[in-house]
This record gives sequence, C-alpha cells and structure tokens, in this order.
Amino acid sequence: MNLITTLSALPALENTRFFTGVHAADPISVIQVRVAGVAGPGALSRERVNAVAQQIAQRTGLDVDIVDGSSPSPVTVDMPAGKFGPPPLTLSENWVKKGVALLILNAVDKTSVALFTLILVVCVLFVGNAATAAVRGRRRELGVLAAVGWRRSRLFATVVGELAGIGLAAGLLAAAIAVPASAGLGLDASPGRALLAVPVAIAVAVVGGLLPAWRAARADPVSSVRPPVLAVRRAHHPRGITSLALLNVARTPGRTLIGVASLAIGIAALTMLDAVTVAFRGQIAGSLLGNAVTVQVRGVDYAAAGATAALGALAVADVVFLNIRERAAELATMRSFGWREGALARLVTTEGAVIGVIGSLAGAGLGLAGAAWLAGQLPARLLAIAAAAVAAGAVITAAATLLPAALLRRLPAAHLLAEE
Amino acid sequence: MPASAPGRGALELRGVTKRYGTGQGGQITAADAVTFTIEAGAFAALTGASGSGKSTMLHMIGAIERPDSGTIISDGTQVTALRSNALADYRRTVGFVFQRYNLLPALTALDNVLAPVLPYRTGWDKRDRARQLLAAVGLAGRERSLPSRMSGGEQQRIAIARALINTPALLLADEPTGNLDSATAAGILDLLARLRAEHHMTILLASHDPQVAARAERMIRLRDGAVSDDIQPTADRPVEDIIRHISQLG
Repeated sequence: MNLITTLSALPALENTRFFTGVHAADPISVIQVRVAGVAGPGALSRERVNAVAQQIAQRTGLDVDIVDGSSPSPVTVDMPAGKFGPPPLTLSENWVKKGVALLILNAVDKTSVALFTLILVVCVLFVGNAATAAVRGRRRELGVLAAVGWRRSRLFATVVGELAGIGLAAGLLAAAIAVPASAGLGLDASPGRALLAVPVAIAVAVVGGLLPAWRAARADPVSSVRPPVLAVRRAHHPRGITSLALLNVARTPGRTLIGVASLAIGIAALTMLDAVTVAFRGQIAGSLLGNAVTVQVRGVDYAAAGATAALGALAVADVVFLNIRERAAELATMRSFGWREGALARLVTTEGAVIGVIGSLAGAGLGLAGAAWLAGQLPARLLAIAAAAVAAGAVITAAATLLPAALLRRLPAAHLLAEE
Repeated sequence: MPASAPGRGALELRGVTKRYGTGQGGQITAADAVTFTIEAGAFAALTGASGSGKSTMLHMIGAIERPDSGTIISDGTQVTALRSNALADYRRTVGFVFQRYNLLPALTALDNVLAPVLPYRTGWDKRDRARQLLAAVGLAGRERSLPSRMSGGEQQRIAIARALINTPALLLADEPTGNLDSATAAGILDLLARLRAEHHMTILLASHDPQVAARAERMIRLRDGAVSDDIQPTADRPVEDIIRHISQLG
C-alpha cells in the first residue's frame, strides 16, 4: 500500500508509537520532486529536470527516476491458478511507461524537420516548373546553339549555371531578410546561421533545374521550331468553358502534375496536423499519450504546413501563368473573335481550379491515410477535416489564380496575332 | 441560323491616327489621320508595302487595337467609343481572317469554327451551322480533323468558316493568302468573293500583293500610315494598268 503525504507527516511516520509494520524503520519509499521552471516538454525544461536529478543523486546517493512524460497504459496480465484454489485470472492493470514524452518529443522534432523538408520539396518543384518553362521559351535559342556546335554538356552546364546564379541571389536575399526577421520574432538566427540559406537555395535551384537542363541539352534545331504548347493527338469536343479548361490542362501533363503534387504536399501536411490536433484529442483511451501528441503540434508546425500549402497554391498559380504565357496567341485570338474578358478569365481560373481540386483531393487523401495510420482508426471527424482541407485548397488556389488571370487584360493582342 | 441581310457593313474612318514608340524615344506612325468610307457590301483592299500600316488599320477596325485619335464607325456603331463587354460584342459582328490562320491547335476543324460561340447561347443550332460553313468552304467530311493534319489552304478555309459563324456584316482579312501558294491563294480569293455574294457582307482585305488586292473593287493604298491612292478600276483604267501602277510604286 502506498501513502502519499507531505513533509509535515514525517514526525508521525518516524514515531514507532504511531507507525508500526514491515517498514517501520524506513517508512519512506519514494520522494516525489517537482522541478520549478518546467513548463511543458521543451528542451530547456528537459535540461532543468536532468540537472536537478543529477544533483539529488550526487548529494543523497538515492536512486532517481525521471517520470516526467510517463504514460500509464493498460496492460493485460495473466495470473496462474493458485496452489490453494484461486482460479487463473486475466487482469488489466495500468503500467507506467517512462520516457514516452521524450520519444514523442523526438518524433515531433522529426516532424518539424519533415515539414521544413516538404517546403524545400515544393520549392524544388516550383523551380523545376519555372525552369522547364524558361527552357521551353528559349527553345529556338538553344536549338540554334546546338546547330552551331555547342555540346550537350555545355548546354546542360549553361542552364544549371544560370539556375545556380539565381539560387545564389535568392539565398543571399533570404539571409539578409532572415537576420532582422528572426530578431523581430525573438528567434536566435545569427548572421552565420542565416547564411546557411545560401547553399540551401543554390541546392534547391540546381536540383529543381536538373531535368529542364537535361531537356535543354537535348535541344536540336528541329525542336526549336515546334510550337511551345503541343497540339493534342486525339480530337476532343469541348461543349463549354469547363470542358475546354479540362482539355487545356491535359495539354501540358507534366506541368499540371507539378502543380498537383506541390499543392497535394501542402494539403497533406495541413490535413495531418489538423487531424492530430482535432480528431485525436481525447480519443486515445484516456492515455496521456494522445494529449501529449496533441500538445506537441506546435504553432511553428502549422506555420510550416501553412507555408507549404501556400507555396503549393502559388505553384498552381505559376502553372496557370505559364499556360497563359505560352498560349497567349490563342487567348488573343479568342478575344479577337468576341470572347468577353470575363469568359477568358473564367477559362484560365477554371484551369487553375481543376488543378487545385485534384491537388487538394490527393493531398487530403494522403493526409487522411497518414493520420488514420498513426491512430489505427478512421474517426468520422477525420473525414470532415479532409473535406475542409479540400475546400481550403480549392479556395486558396482559386484566389492565387486570380493574379495571373488579371494579366489577361494586358495581353498585347495585336502583336500576338501578328506573330502567331 | 442568324439571318444575313443586304446593306450591312458600311465602314467610316475619320482622322484615325495610331503611333507606336520605338523603345529608343522615337515614334512610328502606323496610321496618320486616315479618313475613308467603304459602302455596305463593297469588296475593298488595303494595299501597300510591308510596314505601311495595313494590319494596324484592320486591327483598329476589328477593335483589336485602339487608335490614339479619330473615329471608326462600323455599321452605325462608333467602335472607338465602345468599352469592355460592348467591345467584345462588337467583335462578334466582325469576322477576322489572319495570315497565319490563328486556329486553336487542340480543337478539331468543327470545334474551331464553333470556338467564337463556345461560351455563348445562341438561338440557332451552333453545330449545324458550323457544319454548313465547313461545307461551304469545301471542307465537308473534315470536321473531325485537327489543324496540324491539314494543309495551309485547308487551315485558312477553316479560319474563313470560323469568321462567318456569327454572320458578320464585315469581314476583315489580313494577308489571307500570304502563307499560301498561288493556286491555293486564288482558290481562297474565289471563295471570299463567293461568300461575300452569298452572305451580303462587306469585305476589307489587306495585302501587299497588288495581284491579290486587284481582286477587290477598290484599292486603298497606304504609305507610311497615310492614304496615298484610292483607286477603282474603270473602263478607262483596267485592272492590269492599276496592278502595273501599284507594282511600280512598290
């Protein structure tokens, strides 16, 4: 039997008149110590607890168990039949597992790293898309260079070198912004640490540009005179703006896929975080584990997931912008035969919305699957969260595509119609 | 199907001026106070050397570009006063044929002809009319073909059928034979002449080629953006003389 009491009970416990029994000589089995200044499971709190535990062990010679973050969880125990008649029993007891919070913390740290990695992945897709469009736009120039004897390795190195230069500029700019921004947010980012953005930005630009650079290296004079947006191989019969938008989205499948993937990554991250915070709270059978997990979804994770989703939406807007640029002559032709500005805008925003809905559905599906795998169940609330994520993805994508759609009015129609 | 009525498509330009910046502080005058009138149902040609302002003139009449000053009145509508949706609605009353056809490569011949009316409801059967127009330009049976699998002459025929989908009162053709061989070009000009008679419309064609321009009843020659000659063949002055005269002027 355990008796939990305070230090004022010590005189009574040591007085053999009042306290007798097996442990009358040493009645105290456990002293629980709460460390001041520990607020939540952060790294600083962990260090404080460790330091106090070390001092107790050194000064008293007692064994010290750190039970911070322990989680009682039900364990089934089989009791064999006793010699004197008790039958075999199966009992459920709450066993305490130590260090669960630490495991969770480590996992959460990995989650943060994973989220920031996802941001970089979306950045790579973004750069890859823009670089592919740039190479496509310069196909004549690259074809001419190939015709006059430039080797493939030279063409490849030229494109990669250009992208590395852009990455360098972006990295320096990011470092310059990071120092005052982190100071403003109360974060520790020394100039030396901020400069880490430079190699990261160069790496993102170069990795994103590898495929377009490879394509550039395969340039030949014949490909240089092909139209930028290929015609379709099969005949289609659009009956309205929506079906024409679907047809246009299918004309650049690689680009569409990049837009879908970029958005899906962000929406998947948001869905998982939402699912963890909303659907799992209190759902894991009274265990502290569920609460610990939900507590550990930090604001910075939401910022990272939100940034990934926003980048994904911008990537879709970029896809729409590049489509407008490459099909500018077609859009100018439509205007010339009487399509209203609203109809043209509806066409390009529908293209963005199609990519947005596909990306959001894919992302929500992935996030849902990940969250269900984590929980081992699929609560109805998760489905509601996934539906909300799809709606949010579609809305932010539609909002993002308004920007390139606004550029339609600036199309130099006469120039484009003469050039086509 | 929309009805076509004779007497539509009169055109009037008053002091139309358009200048472009050269990017080096200079200016090019593409239209210099151009004034002329074309009667409804006429077949007129704008001719002149490359860069004389023919295409710019057609673009301004077709409301693709806006003049810096001056007035354009087409079929009673003051085009230069129109804005936004009214401008788009006006464009649907004008057929425009381009030198490079400007077809939509993802659409079949039939769907290209339908493209101008794709976002709109009409009181007539769109597909039926598009089929009739393709037949009228000699492309019956090619409705499902993609432009990339058709010759230049066939593509231009699609572009002409597309220009007629809204039964325009005015057809503007910018170097419609510029990318075609002479035999195909002659076929396209014959087609335009026949369609003009059938649809009672006004045609204004731009061509640097005097032989092509001479197919019109009237030739307006532009030089540096200004009208330098306004010629109509007469018994005293046959077409051959006019072609020779224009060719000498360059």
